Formats: sequence, C-alpha cells, structure tokens
Amino acid sequence: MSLLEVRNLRISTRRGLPLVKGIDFTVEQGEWFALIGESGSGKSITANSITDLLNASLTRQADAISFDGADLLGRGRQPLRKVRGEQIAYVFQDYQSAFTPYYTVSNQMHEMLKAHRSMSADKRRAMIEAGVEAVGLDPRLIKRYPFQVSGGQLQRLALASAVLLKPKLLIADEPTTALDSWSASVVLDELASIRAATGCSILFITHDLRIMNRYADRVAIMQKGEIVERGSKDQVVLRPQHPYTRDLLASTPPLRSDVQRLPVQGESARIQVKARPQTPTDTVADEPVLRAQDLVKVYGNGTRAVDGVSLMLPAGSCLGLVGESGSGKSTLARCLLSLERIDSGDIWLRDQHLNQLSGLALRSARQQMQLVLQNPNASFNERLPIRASLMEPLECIGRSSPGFLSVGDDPRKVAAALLDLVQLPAEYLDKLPNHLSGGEKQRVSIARAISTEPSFIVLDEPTASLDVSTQARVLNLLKDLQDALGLSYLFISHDLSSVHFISQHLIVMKDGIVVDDFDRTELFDSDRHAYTKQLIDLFEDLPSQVA
Amino acid sequence: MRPATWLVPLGKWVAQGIGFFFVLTIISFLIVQLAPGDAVLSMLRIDTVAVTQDEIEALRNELGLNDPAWQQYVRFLGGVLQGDFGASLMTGKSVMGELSKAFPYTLMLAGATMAVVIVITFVLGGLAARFRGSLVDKGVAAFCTAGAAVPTFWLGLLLIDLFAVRLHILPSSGMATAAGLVLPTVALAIAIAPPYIKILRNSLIEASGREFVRAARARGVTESVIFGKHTLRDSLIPLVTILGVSLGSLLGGTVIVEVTFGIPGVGKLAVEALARRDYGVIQAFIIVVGMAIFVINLLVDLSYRALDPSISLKGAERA
Repeated sequence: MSLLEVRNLRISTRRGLPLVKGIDFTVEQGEWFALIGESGSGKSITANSITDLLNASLTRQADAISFDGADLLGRGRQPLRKVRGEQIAYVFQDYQSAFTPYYTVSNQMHEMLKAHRSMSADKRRAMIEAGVEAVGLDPRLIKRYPFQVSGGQLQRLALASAVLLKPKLLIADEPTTALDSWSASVVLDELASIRAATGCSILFITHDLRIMNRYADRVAIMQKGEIVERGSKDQVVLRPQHPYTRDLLASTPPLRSDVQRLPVQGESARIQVKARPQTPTDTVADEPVLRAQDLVKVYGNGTRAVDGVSLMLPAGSCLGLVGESGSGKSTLARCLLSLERIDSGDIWLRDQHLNQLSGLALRSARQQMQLVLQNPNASFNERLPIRASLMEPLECIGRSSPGFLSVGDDPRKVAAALLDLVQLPAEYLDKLPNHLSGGEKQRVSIARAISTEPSFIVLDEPTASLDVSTQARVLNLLKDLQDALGLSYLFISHDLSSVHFISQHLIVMKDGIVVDDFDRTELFDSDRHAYTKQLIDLFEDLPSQVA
Repeated sequence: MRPATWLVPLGKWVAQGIGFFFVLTIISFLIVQLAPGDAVLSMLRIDTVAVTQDEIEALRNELGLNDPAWQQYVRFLGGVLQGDFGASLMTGKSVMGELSKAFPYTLMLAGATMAVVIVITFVLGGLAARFRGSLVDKGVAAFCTAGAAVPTFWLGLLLIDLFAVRLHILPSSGMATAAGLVLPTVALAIAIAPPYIKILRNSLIEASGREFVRAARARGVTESVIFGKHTLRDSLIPLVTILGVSLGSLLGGTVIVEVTFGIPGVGKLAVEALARRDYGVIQAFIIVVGMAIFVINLLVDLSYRALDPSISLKGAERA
C-alpha cells in the first residue's frame, strides 16, 4: 500500500479557472518522490492541497487523497490539524517565513509540541535540543528571533522542527531555491540523512533537475497543471519521452561539454544586426574597458565587504563573477558602477580614472555603464508602458537611436527595433509591465541596457529569478547579442554553470576576496582553489549531458 | 539585554524631547510677539475706560514689553520651566491653574473614548475579517461610512435629543457624574473608530494570508493560537500608528464635542482664550499639549518595539 495516494486532484480558483487538472500520483513508503515543474505548473498548490493548506481563494476537489490507509479528503478541520506536523510535515521555500518574526524559534518549536503532545516543558526542551543538534546546529541558536539567523541555518531549523515528531511524510516545497548553492547542499544532505535515519518518505518539489538527479527515486514532471511524464529517475533523465522534459533537461548549462547555445525548443533564429557598431571608443581589441586595482570597501560596522579585489574586463568579452550571497559580489558591482564610494583602490573605465571623477564628468562616465538587475519586477515602473521605460535611457542622454540600429530617428521605430533585438514583438511597446512574464521583462531590461551603447553592462544575477527554460533562453540571447554587437559583460551569479556557460574568464569571490581567477577552459584544472572545486561538485552535470 | 541597546534610543529620546521643548517655547513666544494687536491695549480696553498714553507705557514697562525680545524670551522660558505662565488676562487666575482644572476633563474624555474605540474596533474589525465578503462585512463597512460621514456635533445633538431630552436616562451636558461621560464618548468614538475598524479588518485579512501563518498551520498549531498569537500580532502594528495620531488630537481637546456637551476641557479653554487673546493660556496650551503629544509618540515608538522585536534587535546582533 502506498503511503500517500492522490487520485484525480483538481484545484481551481473560485472563479473556476483550473490550475491543477486532475492529476494522480502516489508516494511509496520511504521513497524520495520528486515533483518537477516550473512556476505556475501547479506543483506547490498540489503539495499544499494534501492537508488542505490552500488559500481561501482556491478550491480543491479529488476522488481520493489517502494517507497511510486513512482518508484525508473527508476529514474535518480538527483531525486534519492533528495530521499536520505529526504525520505530514512541511518545509517551504520561503525560509524567512518558516517562523513568525515576532517570536523566537524556540517559542514556536515549543508551541508545535504543545499542539500535539501534553508533556512537561523540560521534556519538550530536551526533545527540541536533540532535534536541533541532529541537524548539526547549536541549540542556543533557537533562542534567537528568525531574522537573527542566517538563511541556511533557518531552513535547517525549519527542517529540525518539521521532523521533531518523526512524521511519515515530509513535504519539501522548493526548500533550497531561495538559498545559495552552498547552504542548499547542506540542507539537502541533512534531508537525505533524516530520511536514512527515520525512514520517512519525502515529497520533494523543485524545478532543479540537478537536485532531482542526485536524490530522487521516482519523478513526475508537471506542466500547466498536468503530469506530462513520470517514471523512475533514471528513466526520466536518460530516456525522456515528453518534449517538455527534454526541454527542461536541455536548459541546464553543462560544465563539461563546450556548448555554444543551449538547445532549448521554440527559439526564433539568431539575432541579425545590420552592421557592427563603430563607436569612436571601439578601438583595438583586448584593450580592457574596465580595470580595477586593489578595491577595498569597508562598511560602517567594520565589515570588509570588498577586500583588495583586482579585475580586468577586456573589450567584447564576458567576465564571470561567482560567489555566494554575502561574498561581496554585489557590493563590488556597485563600486565598479560608482554607485558606492570605494575606500581605496583604483577603477579605470577605458582611460578615465573613474574613482577620481565627480559631478558632470562622473555623470557622463556613468552613461557608458549599464546595469541589469535580478528582479525584473522591481526595475520597471508598473504604471508606465514598456515603451516609456525602454526609451528612458536614450532620452536621458539626448540621443534618438543607438548607432547599431539603422531605422531612422522615429522613437517608435527605434523602440520596436530594440524589442526586435531581444525577440519581442512590437505590440509589447504599449503594454504595461505586469502583462509581461518575468523572462519577457528581463528581455526588455536587456534591450534597455544596450540601447545607449554602453562600454560594459553589469548583469547582476539576471537569470536567478527565472524558470530554467526561460533562463536558458535569456542566456542564449545574451550570448547572441554579445556576438552581434561586441558587448562587454560583467556577469554576476552564484550559479557556476550559468557563469561558466557565458563567460570567457571567471573569478570566484568569497568573503570579499578573490579566491580564484581562471579562463573558462581551465575550470577542471587541478590547481583550482578548494572552494571552486566544492562549487564544481555542487553543479555536477546531469548524466544525459555527460554522454 | 545589554544596556547599550536600550541606552542609545533612550538618550536619543531625551535629546529629542529637550529639543522639541525649546522649539515649542520659541514658537509660543513668537506667536505672541508676532500676533496682530496689542495685548496691553486689549487688556485695558476691557474696562472700556479711557486710558492715556502714559498709562499704556507704564503698563508696558511693568509687564516688561519694552525690553529686547531675547530678554523677554529668557524671562518667559524661566517662567515656563517653573510651570509659571503668568496670570490669565481674563480671569486673573494663574494660567497653569486654569489649564490643570481643564485637563482632567479632557483626559477622562480621551481615555474613555480610546477605550470604546478599541473595543468597537476589535469587535467589528474582527467580525468583518472573519466573515469577509458576507453581510456582516458589508454591515460593518456601512457603519464605517456612516460614522465617518456624520458630523460629530450633529450626532451629539441627536444623542442628546434621544437619550437626554426624550428618554431622560442620561444628562445632556456637563460632567458632574460619570453618566455625563457616556454621550460625548459615544459621539466621539463613532467618529474616530471607522478608520481603525477598516485598518484592522484589512490587516487581519492580509496577515491571515502570510506565509508564516501557513507555516504555523502546517505544524499543526490550533486555529485559536494561530489567530491570537500570530495573525493578531501582525495586524496590530498598522493600528498602533494611527492610535498615536488620534490620541494626540484627542488630548488637544475636541472642541466641537466639548462645546456641544458643555464639558470644560482644554479644547474649550483654548478656543475661548483665542477669542479673547488670552495669550498666556494659548502659550501654555501649545507647550503642554505639544509635550503630551511628544510623550504619546514615544509610547507609540515603544509599543512598536514591543510588538516587533526586529525594530530594536535588527543589526544589533546577527548570526
């Protein structure tokens, strides 16, 4: 008998819009079952619906949801409450919200035990301390408030509290998506050892195929509210049947094989640009557009966020900057863009000594730099149509068209041509940002960044908030644009595989220091820094890519 | 708690309080200096006796009005620091005495009103959030619109007409007994409560959709604990903000209600003083009510810190 059996589950909005369209799946005793899908595929609401945790705006129907031989569907609120936490426990993506910010973690762990068991406070304390130690953390940590604990540790505490009562099923809904790759691997290993120790089953929800490949026993792929493919992990990874599965597999940039483009479906042809840009500053190749020497940035509390970093970005190439959250990589980017004052060191933008400029000279130097940020939703004014946001930089510098376009000076034509470069139709010009998907907005951000023909563009985690297949298309686009226009990028990410895919040269940052610095072809050299090697392990290729 | 986390904001508050006090004294001093008309003239004219220029000058010298402005300010400040605002030009009694006679009435009215507002808010706001979209919710919304739209004095008159004139169960004016407090309190509460009710309703609904509420539910925590501990606490923060604002304006006196119900509170006193150019009373009113509002804002700030530990802890200690 399966531990969990879900038959013909349907979830729709109150207005009747179907989100999950009749899916069936089972989770067996002790197995790691992965439900794979991109945002909007319905995987998270599927997980929440099992113990009726859906928002009031959604309705759930099913032929059966049975758990450990008992029917969960017909149960009232009270018995279902006893199941939650005791037999079926959850770990969610948003670790900041795993605990209420107004109470300490300890308070909320006690609260959970009180809800299920009547036992003395001392016994509860002993049980909680044992649980926290079991995930490798200091029990004193739980005396803190959630916001005083780092992301990775907080997620491990959430995990510890989820398994306190030894549930038979642990539902992990993208538990590592919001963490940097190093914290993520710690949480995942913890999850695996909990399963080994308690024999619980895991329903794991993710969009990350590397995680699936490493841990899952059985897999179901969800797309638009339906399960399109299912089977054992090896079967799905090595012999994918459904085109969507193949697309997902192709979207993961491999480290070992040298691909020019990620082979995703449904992409239009490569970008055609009439002429290479011939700006006056476009001189000898290999001349660095950006050079930084011994940069130091110290924050008021004494943190050396950037501690003696030197780097060089040759014209027309891409420099990749890899680092975990808190490594100082975004601070470094802000210093390079002179959005933040450096405490010592030198920055040259071509032959201009950037950190000695001020006033008008600094303003005009800033026009030669552009920035694309991680969150495409925050980089648009939601009340302005796309056209207005897109053309704003050109208007600011008083130009009508970038030199690489030859469509005249009509702003509408220029805007349409810019959108065409990033493979978006001209109709989008009059749309408002919230009518575009995240990937489309990021394309507009890119078009906007290249419109002023900057000397270089800083891409700060430009694909981190996108789905894998969207991410692959944006990476391809960035590469095509670079080939066509001779752009120079500084690409910042914690995702080694994306950085490696797009960059000619990589630097690895940790605690404000550059620990490694190498050409893309030297990634697997034996003299790589130990930290780089750890990262390589975390981003090991899928078996389908090794072949 | 290490002392540093508490001493720093405490020192800041004390410094702010002193700074604010000086600003208030300067403003109230300047108001008199810059006011049109002549205090001496208006003082002397009350008696409608003809006065000579010599008499006016004599009184000016006696009151020190011919000294340079800074000397007058220092003298004024010295008086203020001793709680001495001089005598009321009208009654001849000490200004501080007048004010401290009026203040308890206003304080009682403000306190009772806030208590009623809080009760109405939690009952109606809670019900509206619990039965969101139902008839209850719509009824509460209608009450809020009506309460905010009805002029307070008119509502007061209606209440007097019904309960005092027709039913004879409550006094129509004055605060001789506690019963006199009922009608003005109700009239004020109905006028003040609507934004509270709406804010509590909306923030309860917002809070119940928060991720951490779902996380608590997923741990099997009972619904009553989820509401009382997690949802409610999250909803109180926006409420406390406007609570400070309302309490401040209540302490400044609610002239309309005080006049309608014949309550001798500070609002009524201040308006009468204005009409008669009784500058001493106005100056005392500005400083005393100003400082009271400062203290209230301090309390609001403190209750923020009590409600949301991240305000005082953030940055102080991090993992």
